[in-house]
Amino acid sequence: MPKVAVIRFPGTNGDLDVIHVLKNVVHIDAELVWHEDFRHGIYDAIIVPGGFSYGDWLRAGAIAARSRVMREVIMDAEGGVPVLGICNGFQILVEAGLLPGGALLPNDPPRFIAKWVWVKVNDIKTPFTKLYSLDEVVSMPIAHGEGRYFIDSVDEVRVAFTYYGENPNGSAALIAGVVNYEATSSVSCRTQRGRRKPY
Amino acid sequence: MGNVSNKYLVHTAIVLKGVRDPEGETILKDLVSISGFSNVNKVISGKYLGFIVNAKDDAEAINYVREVCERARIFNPTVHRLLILGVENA
Repeated sequence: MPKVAVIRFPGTNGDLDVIHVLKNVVHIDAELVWHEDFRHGIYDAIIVPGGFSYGDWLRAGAIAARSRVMREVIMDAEGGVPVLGICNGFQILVEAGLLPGGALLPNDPPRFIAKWVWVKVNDIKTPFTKLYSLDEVVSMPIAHGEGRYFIDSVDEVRVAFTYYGENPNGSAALIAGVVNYEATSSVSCRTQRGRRKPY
Repeated sequence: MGNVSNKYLVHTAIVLKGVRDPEGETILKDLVSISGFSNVNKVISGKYLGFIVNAKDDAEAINYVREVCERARIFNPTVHRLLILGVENA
């Protein structure tokens, strides 16, 4: 049975929700892993959940992105292990360079947002979105102060989700989630590491 | 064998570049301007960090802090500019 690692940093708070969904809804094996204990080469997939890692000091995700565990995560990702970042996990993956994106800036307009939004599914050829229909509009919760996705050129990005009906935080091109893909040598399909930011 | 190492406090700030600064805009619009200060054209928000470092002189201290900020990714060069605000003996 595939085993999914859910990484916990100091300040992570979405970890138990993710564990609950994996174990009790999706019924797959999941393990909550303290960031200092994570080692590459063990898990079939990795989720970096939401929260306020290291208190969001300096900027959201910046300190966690430089931690030893992320070097281990990158080694797994380069070996084809899918990595999903949700919310603060998304900010961490962008800061770590695992996902395309210049930065996640403070929201515009400037406010913390916690609400449900509609997002459109733009790409279903990823391990994270393949059960959706293309252009399906789904509701997801968002809760963030630094969610304004910025990138120099949106053409460089493979977009998984876009906000639908509104742009709650000023993200470039309504981008709510992206995937990054690199070919692996062993399989014909490309392996994506992606993340959703909402939640 | 001279005393080549002194302590310096280098003051830095990280500000946005090339992207909107809604915090600065809000401070300008909803605090400064409505208080009647019509000669303020812009407010720029940012984050202050001070570094106390060992160096032989001011210039070396500043260069060292600049290197620290770049290599430790204290700022994100895509969207931020690092300002060296000043240096003093610490």
